Amino acid sequence: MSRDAIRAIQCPACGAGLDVLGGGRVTILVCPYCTTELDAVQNFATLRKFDGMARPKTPFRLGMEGEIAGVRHQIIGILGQVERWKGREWHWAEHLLYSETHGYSWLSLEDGHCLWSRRVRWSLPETYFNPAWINRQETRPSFNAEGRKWHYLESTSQTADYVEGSFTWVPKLGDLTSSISYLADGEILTVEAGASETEQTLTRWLPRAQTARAFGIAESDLPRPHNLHPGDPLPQSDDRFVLTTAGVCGVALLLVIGWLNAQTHILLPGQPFPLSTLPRSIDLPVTQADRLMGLHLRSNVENGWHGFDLELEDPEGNLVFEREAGTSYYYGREDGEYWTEGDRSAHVTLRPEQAGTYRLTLANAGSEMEPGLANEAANPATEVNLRVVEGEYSLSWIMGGFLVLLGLGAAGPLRRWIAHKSRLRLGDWDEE
Amino acid sequence: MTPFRLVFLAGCTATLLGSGWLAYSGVWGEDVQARAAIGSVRTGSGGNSFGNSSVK
Repeated sequence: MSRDAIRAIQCPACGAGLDVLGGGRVTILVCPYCTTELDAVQNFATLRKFDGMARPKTPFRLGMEGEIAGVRHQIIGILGQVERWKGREWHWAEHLLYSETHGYSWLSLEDGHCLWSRRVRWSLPETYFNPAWINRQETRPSFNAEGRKWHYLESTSQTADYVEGSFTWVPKLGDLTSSISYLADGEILTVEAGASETEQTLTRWLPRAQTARAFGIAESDLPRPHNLHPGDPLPQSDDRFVLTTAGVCGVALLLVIGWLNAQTHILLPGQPFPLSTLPRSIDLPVTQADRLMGLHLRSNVENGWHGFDLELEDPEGNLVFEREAGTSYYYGREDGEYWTEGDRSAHVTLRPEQAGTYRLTLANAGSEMEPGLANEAANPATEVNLRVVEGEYSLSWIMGGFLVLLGLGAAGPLRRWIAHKSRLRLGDWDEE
Repeated sequence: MTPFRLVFLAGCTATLLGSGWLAYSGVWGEDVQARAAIGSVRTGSGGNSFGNSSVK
């Protein structure tokens, strides 16, 4: 009878009934009851006995079946793994899976995270998996392969401390296996340096609840994760929708600016008044009550300050306000460089409470000059230009709106970038 | 339409309408000194002064 036809045996060491799991490549069977290693090729002869092994904390059992990535898998072997570094230990369980159509792969349970690993044969740059080369790098190594960008994550040395079930090789406890891992979004590429060949493993993070359900256990049976796992996929932020929506709203804001400009109404187009004609009273036929009205002055003062009195009366002849608006402008040359200071313009913005004809009186309030400033001319203003606009708007709110939209549009990519960095920080690369 | 899309769309729309309305209304766009002068005139202040402005 061929070994493939045998479905169950009795352990020759303890007599327990054992299911013979896995395909034709299984060479070793370790009895889960007495931990005796049996030779699956040589009629299940006893090879040795593993003593003092502690079963890793895993709710998965030999023979359990479940679907991963749409493919039915059966758990045929369980390995306990441990990594020791500077007095600390990290333990996890690896479950050897067998699929009749897809062969062998691994389901790992690491700090409550479910991970699915399978062998790949990719063309990879060998240098990036050379520990000495990695140690010489000043920035985190990364390369492109198979359509992803891979960033160096960590170098590890692990050893098995528990075996149970069927294996396609002879498991050895205590032998160190060194590997180097690179991270992409939700995937870890690990290369193990073997004696004769390198083995590439692609690990994908699996949703806990979905994995537990697939294998017929409750999610609460799985250990609770304490930390984020590097393979945890980056948050999906619907970038295309986010950028499109924020962009459309940004364009709409530009249209709003155009509309707001169309709402403004010039009551007095920039009209120059020689100072000799002041004081002057100007009638302003205000039509937009409770909207902003701007009084904009501009003088031709040089190297001095020139003030103007503004007095506004409402349609009923009541004084609304009187204030002085100053214009100033200074310039000169110092150490070969030309400089200017001050503003020849002055602005007063108010909000008329009613429509009707307001009367604005503009008067000369005098000037203060700086004679002889760097041998430049110092002249008081000879004329003032007055412009009055009603229906003005606050551009700062539109700019604020643009900034908010920019922030909203950048939130998704920024969140992903932060998440990517936080996953990379879980590795052993020291940015400093 | 996912909840995220709804919330994001609502946020963008609120930003667009909110900033447009605030800009149109000229909230905080009024000259502070002019507003203070108007307030002083309404309360009958006479001779108060601030900066380079005066109120009758």
